Amino acid sequence: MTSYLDFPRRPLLAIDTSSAQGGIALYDGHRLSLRSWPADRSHTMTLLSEIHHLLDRDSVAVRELAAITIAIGPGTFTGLRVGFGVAKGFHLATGAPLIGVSTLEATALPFAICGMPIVAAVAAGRGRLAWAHYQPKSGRLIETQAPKNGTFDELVAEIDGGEVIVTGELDGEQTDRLTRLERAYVPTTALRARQPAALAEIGWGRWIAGQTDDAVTIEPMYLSR
Amino acid sequence: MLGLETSCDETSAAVVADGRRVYSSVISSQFEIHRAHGGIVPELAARSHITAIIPVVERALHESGFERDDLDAIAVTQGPGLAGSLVVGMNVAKAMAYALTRPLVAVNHLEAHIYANWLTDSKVIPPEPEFPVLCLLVSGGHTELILMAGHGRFQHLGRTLDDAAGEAFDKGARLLALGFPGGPAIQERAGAGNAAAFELPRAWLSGTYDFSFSGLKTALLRLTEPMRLASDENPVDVPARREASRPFREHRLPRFATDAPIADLAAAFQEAICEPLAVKTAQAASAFNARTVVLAGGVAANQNLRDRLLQEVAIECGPEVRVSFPAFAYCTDNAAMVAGAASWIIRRGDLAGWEADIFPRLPLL
Repeated sequence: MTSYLDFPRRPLLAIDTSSAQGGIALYDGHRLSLRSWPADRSHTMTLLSEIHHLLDRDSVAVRELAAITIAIGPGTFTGLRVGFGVAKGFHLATGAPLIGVSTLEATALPFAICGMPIVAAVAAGRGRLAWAHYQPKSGRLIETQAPKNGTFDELVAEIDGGEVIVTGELDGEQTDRLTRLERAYVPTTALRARQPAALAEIGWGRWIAGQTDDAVTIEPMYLSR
Repeated sequence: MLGLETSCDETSAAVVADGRRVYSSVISSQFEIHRAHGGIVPELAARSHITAIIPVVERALHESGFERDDLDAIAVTQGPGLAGSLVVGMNVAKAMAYALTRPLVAVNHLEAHIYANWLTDSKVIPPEPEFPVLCLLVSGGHTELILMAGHGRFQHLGRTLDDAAGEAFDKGARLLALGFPGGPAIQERAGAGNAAAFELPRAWLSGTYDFSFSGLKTALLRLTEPMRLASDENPVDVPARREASRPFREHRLPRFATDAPIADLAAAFQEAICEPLAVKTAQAASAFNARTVVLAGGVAANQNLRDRLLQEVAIECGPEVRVSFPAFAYCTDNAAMVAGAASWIIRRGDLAGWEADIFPRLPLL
């Protein structure tokens, strides 16, 4: 059976448990394997089984992983802790380095090609949102406004008037209001869904650049209101 | 066996062989983080586990002298406990077990406390507690009387109907301005006090092996209210103002005159908790023909409770019934007891799958 060990590069495992939709990916810069599932509140019960299916399908053992990329949030605290727990457990068992990536950056990445400012949002509970602003540059994203936690009205006030793509976790009413803004572009629900491939791609770039994080101190992003 | 314990505010890892011999036990306490709040703040506890877990596990392995690949299995607390805290240990343990291709054992925290009585630091392993074992489990979250006919065979005899004994100690310590955690604070102050100086009620709940401590707490409140300094308006449980830079509320303690009889109050309060616990445990041991009486849980570290239990069991059951206490280090939450219990659980063939979940309200039975 062909194993990743037969390839010159070992794959990276990306883990996203920021929200109800769980996502994982194996990526070595060329070959990509994905799984995405509606975990809702069951990340603890589902994540390791999903990882097992992904690794088993590609005949990869945890000790063969080059690194582990973890979505650091913002997102649901419990979901993030599940992902961090598994990532840190793999690190303890194999020494695999950890790379933390903003959930909002992974949300925005698929639209970097459009060349216009991007606002990426995730639900922050009780009708609130967490969002950040990005500016594409040479296919990469520059964070122009750091992640913050606020109300939808505050988000609208920030973007009203400027040309911008707004993506991420928005409900129907929020999408309707945004599309009424003259220069705001809101992709469809399926396109706005965060892709584990995007997380894996950002993580792979950092891995190649040697930008790993301290496995001990890395923690979820906690935004205060 | 590597054990992980993150059910509340201690991040702990330990290596234990055969359910008895402790090779290492490392505990990272969050005491300083929670002290200012007068109790555990669940969100802060969960956050601390995330950053403490790697150094704690690495140190436990290093101190044990074993390598990761030497481990036979990984054990972890499944519940009861704080959801955000349990999640960290469970997922770290699962991932380690999966990556090292070892079995995972999910351990009930209460069962682990009981099996702390089987642990030893010594190379010479002492005899096991003889069955039937009567166990008084007393901690911040539980007060339960359990009959153990054999390994994994538990029968519930009684429990607290309201506050746990440890919770009563914490609340009493707050009322007496003695700080957090309450058990050690009250014990220390009670050492210089006279328990007979104040009359505090005991809920005997005769005909049952149940306990109740909420009336005792109220009685202490009534007793101390007139002693508080007049300028101190309604201070108990009123949090300090929340500030944006400090989102978790801090706790303010009541203030007393320097000559207030706090030591006597602490002694009387401690005795009012320990006496019913010791007396009813001894009565149950006699009624169910227990060969051994064991204490378990954080309150098992209380010296007054240990002394009272020895005294009452000797009176009620005679000298042939042995009373056993865990080493002080294994009374409060620790991973050695989790790794220890896991060895007995594995012998029952009870392994956890990758889909194992946490259960914040997991009962013993």
